[in-house]
Amino acid sequence: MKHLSDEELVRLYVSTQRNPYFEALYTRYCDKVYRKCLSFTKNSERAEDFTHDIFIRVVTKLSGFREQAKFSTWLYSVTYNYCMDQLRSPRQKEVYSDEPYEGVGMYDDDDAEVAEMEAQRLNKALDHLTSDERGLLMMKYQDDISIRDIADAQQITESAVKMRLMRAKEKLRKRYLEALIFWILVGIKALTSFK
Amino acid sequence: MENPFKLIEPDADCPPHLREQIVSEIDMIRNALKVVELYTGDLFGAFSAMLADSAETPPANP
Repeated sequence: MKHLSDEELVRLYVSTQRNPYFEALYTRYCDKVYRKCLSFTKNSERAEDFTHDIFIRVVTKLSGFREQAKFSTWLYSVTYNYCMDQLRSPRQKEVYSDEPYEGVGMYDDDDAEVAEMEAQRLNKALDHLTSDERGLLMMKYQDDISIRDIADAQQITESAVKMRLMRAKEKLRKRYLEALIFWILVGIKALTSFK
Repeated sequence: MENPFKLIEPDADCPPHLREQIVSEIDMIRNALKVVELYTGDLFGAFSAMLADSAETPPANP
């Protein structure tokens, strides 16, 4: 079964309903999906429950997979949407405005600033973002999902994705710099008290 | 420079017992759907046969 592509496995599973085809897909992606859930929940038991629900959801939706995107992109979209829905706080359920707001320029595809961030501090800064913002940034920078595919997954326009990404990046940058300045101040204080 | 988003991805593996749980649940869903399909299909068949029967039967003379 190793020689079959993901899309071929999906077609075979949908037409025959035989478990081995699904199990092959599961084997290929279970760790990846579990890790994404773990990134969101930071709790192994909850990540396990999320992974279980996501694969059940995937099986029930497989016949609707139209192969407009790669299977992996589709699966990650289902995963992100599920995690974001589950972890969205009631306060966050307000309607998003995708209008540009003052203080933020146009969407910039130059990600040099993101690339220069230090991993552990980035992880901490991400904790201060909402699940939607975190999900969007992870789709773009961790899984390299295109703006168009993110827009399809979220059922919003490409310009709305760009606007939300820009806002999330801006918030991440602020949180990251705040943490950086805090640790610099702690370092300076420690040095001066040592003298 | 390596993308820091890739570096923060956890490296834990999915628990092995999850596969059995999911597969058995899929079997259960599939079986439940089959039962529903069988019953609704048969009921519909019986109902349409009954209607066809009553349409073919000539009304009894008084």
